[in-house]
Amino acid sequence: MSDEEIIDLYLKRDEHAISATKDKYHNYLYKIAYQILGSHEDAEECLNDTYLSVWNSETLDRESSLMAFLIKLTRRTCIDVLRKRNSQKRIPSECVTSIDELADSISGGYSPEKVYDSKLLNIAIGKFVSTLPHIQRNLFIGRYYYFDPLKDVAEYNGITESKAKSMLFRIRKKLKKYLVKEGFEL
Amino acid sequence: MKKEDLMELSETIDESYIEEVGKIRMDNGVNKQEEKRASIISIDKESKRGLSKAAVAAIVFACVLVLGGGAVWAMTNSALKDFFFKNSDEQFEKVYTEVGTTFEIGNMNVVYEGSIYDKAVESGYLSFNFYDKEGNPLDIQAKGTDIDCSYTSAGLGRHSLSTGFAVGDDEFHLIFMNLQSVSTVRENNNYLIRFNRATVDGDDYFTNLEFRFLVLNKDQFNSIKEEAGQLDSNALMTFTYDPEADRAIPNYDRDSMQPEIVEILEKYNPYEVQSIDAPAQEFMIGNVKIVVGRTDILIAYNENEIDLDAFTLIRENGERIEFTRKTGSMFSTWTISGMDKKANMGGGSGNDDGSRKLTYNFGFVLGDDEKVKIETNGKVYE
Repeated sequence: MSDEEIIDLYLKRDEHAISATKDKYHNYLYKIAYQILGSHEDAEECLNDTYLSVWNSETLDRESSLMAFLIKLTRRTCIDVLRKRNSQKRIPSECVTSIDELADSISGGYSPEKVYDSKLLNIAIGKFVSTLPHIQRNLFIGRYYYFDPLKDVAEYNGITESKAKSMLFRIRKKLKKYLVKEGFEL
Repeated sequence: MKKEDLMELSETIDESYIEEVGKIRMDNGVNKQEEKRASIISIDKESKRGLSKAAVAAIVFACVLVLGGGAVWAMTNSALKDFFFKNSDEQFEKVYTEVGTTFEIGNMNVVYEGSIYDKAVESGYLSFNFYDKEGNPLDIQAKGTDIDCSYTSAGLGRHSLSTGFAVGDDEFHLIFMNLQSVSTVRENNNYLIRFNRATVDGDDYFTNLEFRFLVLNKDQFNSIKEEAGQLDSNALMTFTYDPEADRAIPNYDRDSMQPEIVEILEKYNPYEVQSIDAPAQEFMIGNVKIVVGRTDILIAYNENEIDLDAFTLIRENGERIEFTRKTGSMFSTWTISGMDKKANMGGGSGNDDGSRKLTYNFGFVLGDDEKVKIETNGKVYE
C-alpha cells in the first residue's frame, strides 16, 4: 500500500491504517527505536505508543511525508521513554557516542551551567543542516539524527569509515563556528 | 544539558532531508545485522525463561554465526599468525564490540555487555558475562593482569595489553588494543575490565578512542608472545593525535619495521568508547581532595602535608567502604575494606614536590543519580 493510501485511511479514521503502517514500517521503525533504547521490550512499547500517536495526530495530512512523520514520532517517543526510564538503564553506546560527538561541538561537554535555550539551538541546527552540501548533510543526519554507527553511515553514503569520521569531525567544527556566529556562547 | 535534550536538537531538520536519508537507509538495509541481533537477543531472553537447553544452544550458535562472521578465537596457531600478519584489515573488522556481541571460546559463550567510561576520573570498565553452551552462567576467575611490552610489538600498538581469566582449568586472555592499563574485577557473574586513559595527546583522542579486543586461549596467547618477541618493541612507543584525521597516528620508523607490521599499523584505526557524563562529586577534607566518579575514586593530596588517615564512603544503599592510609617508606598508600585485591590497584605515583593523585576503582558502578557521602572523624560530608 502506498503512503498516500495509508494516510487516506488515517484521515478516514479507518483502523486498518495502523495495521498498514505496521506492515510497511514496523521493522524499519523498530531499528530506530532499538538503536536509541537498546531494549527489545522498550522499543516495542515505544512503537505501540508511536502508532497511537499517529492515530491521534491532528497534523497528519495528504501533504505529509508519512515516513518522515513516523520517524520523527518514533524518535520523540523514544526520547520521552529515555527521560522516564529507570536511571540504572543506560542509553545504548552507539547512541551515546553520537550524542557525545555532537555535544562537544555544542557545549564542549555536558556542563550543567551551560544550558542554552534549546529551542533556539534546535532551530539553528536545522538551518545549519540545510546549508550543508548533500553528502555532508546526509552524513550529519545519519549520525546525529538516526544515531547510526559510523560504519553504517559511511557505507550507505558510499565512502570509507575513516573518511566519514574525518568529514563528521569537520562538520562538527563547522557547526561550532556557525553557532558562535549565530550568537550562541559556546 | 542532558543527553535526551541533546538528542532533541536535531528535531528541526527539514523533513525532506530526513526522508531522503531514511530512504537511503532503507534501500541499503541499514542495521540488518543489528535487527537480526536484536531479535536473536530477544529470543535468547525468552529462551532463558522457557525454551529447552538445546534451543538456547541453537540460538546462541546462530548469534555467534550472525555476529562473529569468523571465529578468531578458535584459530590454530598458524592461522593466528596469519591473523596478525596477513589480511589484517579484514580480520580486525571482525574483532569489534557491539553490545551483546557473543564470542565463542572453547565451550563458552562470552557476551560483551558494554563499556562505561568515567570522564571524571578518567577510567572505566568493559563488562563481560560468561555462559556455557546451554546458557548457564559460568563461574569465572580473574587471573590478574598480564602486561607485557613484548607482544605489543606484534603490530598492535603500545596500548595493547591483556588480562587473563580462567574457567575451571582453562586459561584465557583478552587482549585489548589502545588501553593504557587494564585490571580486572568480578562483580557477580560480570567480569569487569577496568581501563585507564591512554597517554596520547589530548582528551579529544580518548573520547574518540575505539577499543578492540581479542579472546585467545593460552596457546594462542603464548604464540603471540613468542612471535612478538622477535620484533622490535621500541618502535611503537608513541602515538601522535592527528586532529584532521581525528585519530592517533603511531610514531615509528617504518624502515626498521617488518613490512607486515607496517601494513597492519597503516590500517590501524582507533575505536570509540562509550562515555558517561555524570558529574563527579568533589569533597575537600582538610587538604585532601577526593573526587568520586561513577566507577572510581580519586584521592589527591600532598604527601608532606596530608592530615587524613581514614575515611568512609557511604553509598545510598547504606554500604560503607572504608579507606585507610598506610604510611610507606617513601609514600603512603591506601587500602580499601571489603574489596577484591585486584580492585584496589591505584594509579599515580609520588612526585618530587610530594603531590600524589591516586585512582582506585570501586569494583562496581554507581547509579546514574547516586550520591555518596564521606564520613571521617564523626563528620559527614555531602
